[in-house]
Amino acid sequence: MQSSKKSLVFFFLFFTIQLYFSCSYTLASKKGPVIFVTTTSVYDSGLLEELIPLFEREKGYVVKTIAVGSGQAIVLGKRKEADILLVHSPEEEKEFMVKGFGSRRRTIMYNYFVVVGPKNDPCGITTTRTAKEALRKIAERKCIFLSRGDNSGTHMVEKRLWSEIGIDPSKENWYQETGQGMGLTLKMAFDKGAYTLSDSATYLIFSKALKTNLSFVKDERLLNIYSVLEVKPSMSGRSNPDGARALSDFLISDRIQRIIGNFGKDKYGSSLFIPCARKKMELEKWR
Amino acid sequence: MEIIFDGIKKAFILISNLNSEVSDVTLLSIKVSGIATIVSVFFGILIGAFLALTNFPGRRILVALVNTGMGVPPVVVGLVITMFLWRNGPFGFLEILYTPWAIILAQILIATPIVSGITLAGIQHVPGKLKIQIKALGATRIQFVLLLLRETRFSLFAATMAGFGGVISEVGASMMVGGNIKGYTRVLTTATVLETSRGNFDMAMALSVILFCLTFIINQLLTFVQQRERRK
Amino acid sequence: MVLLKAENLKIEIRGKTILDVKNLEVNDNEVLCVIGPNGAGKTSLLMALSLLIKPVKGRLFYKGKEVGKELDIISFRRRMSLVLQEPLLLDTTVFENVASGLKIRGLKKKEIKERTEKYLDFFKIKELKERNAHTLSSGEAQRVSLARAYATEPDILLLDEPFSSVDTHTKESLIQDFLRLREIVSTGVIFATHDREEVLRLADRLCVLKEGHIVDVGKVEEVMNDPKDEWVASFFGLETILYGNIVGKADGGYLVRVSGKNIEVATKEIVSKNVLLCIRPENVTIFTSEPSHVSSRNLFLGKVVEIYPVGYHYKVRIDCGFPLWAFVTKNSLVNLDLNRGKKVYASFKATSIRVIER
Repeated sequence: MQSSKKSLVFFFLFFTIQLYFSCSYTLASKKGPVIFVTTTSVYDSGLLEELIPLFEREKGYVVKTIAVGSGQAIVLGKRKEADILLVHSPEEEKEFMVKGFGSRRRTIMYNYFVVVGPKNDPCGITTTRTAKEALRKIAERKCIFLSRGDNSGTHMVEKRLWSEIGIDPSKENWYQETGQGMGLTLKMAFDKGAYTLSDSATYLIFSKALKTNLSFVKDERLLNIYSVLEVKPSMSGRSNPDGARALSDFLISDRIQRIIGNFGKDKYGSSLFIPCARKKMELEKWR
Repeated sequence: MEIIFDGIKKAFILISNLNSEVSDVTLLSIKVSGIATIVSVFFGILIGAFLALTNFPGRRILVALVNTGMGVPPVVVGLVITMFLWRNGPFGFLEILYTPWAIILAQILIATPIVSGITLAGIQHVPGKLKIQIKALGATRIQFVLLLLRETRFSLFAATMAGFGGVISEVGASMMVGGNIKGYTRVLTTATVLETSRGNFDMAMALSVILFCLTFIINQLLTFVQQRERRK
Repeated sequence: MVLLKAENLKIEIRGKTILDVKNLEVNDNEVLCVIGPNGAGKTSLLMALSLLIKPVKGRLFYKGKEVGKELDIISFRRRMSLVLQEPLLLDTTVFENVASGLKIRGLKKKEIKERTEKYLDFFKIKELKERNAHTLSSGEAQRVSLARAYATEPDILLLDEPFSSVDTHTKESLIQDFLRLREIVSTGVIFATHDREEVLRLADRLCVLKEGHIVDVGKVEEVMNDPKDEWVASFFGLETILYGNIVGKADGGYLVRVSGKNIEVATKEIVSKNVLLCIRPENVTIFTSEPSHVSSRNLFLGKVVEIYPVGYHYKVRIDCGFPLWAFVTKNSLVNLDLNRGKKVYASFKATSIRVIER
């Protein structure tokens, strides 16, 4: 009993002191941490793990990257619990800016939405050219369709597409909500032989992870656009607007845009994101 | 099957190569959950002993609260702590959200009711006559409590194991209050979730194997101490 | 000297009075046996006297000092030891158990070791000292419990039926140990029991409890031979019990002096000087005139004090200088013309007397 008590106290002190020093080392920067709330699809791709260490090293900020769904990211921004957001929900972003929560919005990159299905493609979506056509076919043939159902950027786009083709699938048997992230929804679709809507980056990553080829329709006109939003600082003085601006500037810089454009080429055969900080106006017209 | 096998193989490769990312995550898990467990054991035993040995109005409500606390999902604790620690929340001035300290705090709140509950049950399980006998030995209030705790030490070991098991395997609260920041607040469970959502199933499996081994080793260690005590 | 004195001690549990003791004294170096039917409050009395249960009212004096005022409760308790029916040992080694009272009292390590060894030795449990107390047999465990109680060398020992959960053989050896210790250390002992044998062999004074009240207290022979109620009478049974000293050897036995008379007893070797003689009433023969040839060597002249019916028999109490009970049939009662105050001769065989050593 005596020895175990002593070792407990020893471990406690050792751990606490070590953790304290390792934390204060990490946070040694005088500039204060930047809270960077990002959507899971970008985070899961691993892109930020290449970019953020570069930024920290070069600019001297410490970045706390928190990955959440786009819906939650916007809310955290509104509550000023974040300094900068990276999201892909254009409608919500516009509202965010209009209502005065953000000080600046910059589009940095995009990719496409794809409708994905099993390899043998029972619904024949590969014969279609657009996402809307593919969804209409799925509805006609009552193939199982998995929806994220989590108000993420992708889910918002999916809902918009259904309403534009005039179908309300929410009460249909073949329409199921997963409540999972994009990756796991894709995995479930693969396991169940179902269809789903995905962004092209996650689709590329997962088709490699699952070591399989899926049937898919890539809609060249259905873009998945990512923007960074700098949040207006709160009154409490605990915000970090300088850090947010520095990070935003960093992400649109030519060098970083090039890195974004090359990211994933070696591993997945094509890049996951297409940089577009310099072509913002062109993109707007696609919408 | 292939993925499971690959995962286990990868786990051993990662462990034997002392992969720095994996070892950092593992060490942080041990440190965070270790500190949280030790603090919870301290407060948990204190609360459990207090509730077991006193009688005052409202005690029943507190006991009910402890018992409820034993079953509160970590996500709920995580959510509440996050809201309290938000920059603009009541404890925002502490500026500990998205740090290991926030995870420790959340895990303390998760484990303390578990330890208290088991301690409480353990002490209540001691026969009333033994309590009288200890008092009759001339024990002061403090000596009485210490002797009772020594009598219930197997329950206390069990409480420690349950508390540690609860926090090392918990993911919801760590994810929310820690933010799963690479190299800073990423622990074994949150890393596993992340690797899963990235499609790195073999890496996720490897981390799970490490988590399993870790829990197994620490429980074996505590069981060993417990059994050594028993033989005395 | 009066060690412990209780005044108006009252215990209530959920509003019900469990114990109400007007006055009770315990002297040093005496064994005060507490007897009474089940639920009479024997255990409660022990608890109350050591303040292990808080009395609702009443005062306790230890060596003349009021406990709780002139003497704090912890120091008071540290002058006592408690042994309960079940051994209730701590989950640790035998040594640690015996040492626990001393550790609590904060004695020096060396002293703890010496004293613990001494009592481990005394109770013949030295070879068990590294064993876990929870692995012992009930007899061994009770030895540990007694050793633990004695190790603190208390002024007052509270024993609550300490020998009732062990087998007869162990019980006998524990009683022997207890008697041996009585000669070495001087303690006041309060001994709750429901065993007549233990009372007869161990008690100096007797306290009879009934429904939480003391109905009788005094020397054993006083309480016993003049029972205040039926329960006491039936507790001691129909035997005549006499206290005496061995004064010499007799043919095949001893000569025992009881209230100035010599009684011959036939028994094997006995060591102690003090003995109890038990004479069953059916073994006593009554004569109205001095018989010419009596085979029994004990013949005493006495006076009939009481006669009352017990079933088909009559029980007759004769005063021969010591009390003596005899049974007669209804026929004999008429034939002998027995009545109160009549002079009679009573005889009983030396071999019919049971001798209990004290």
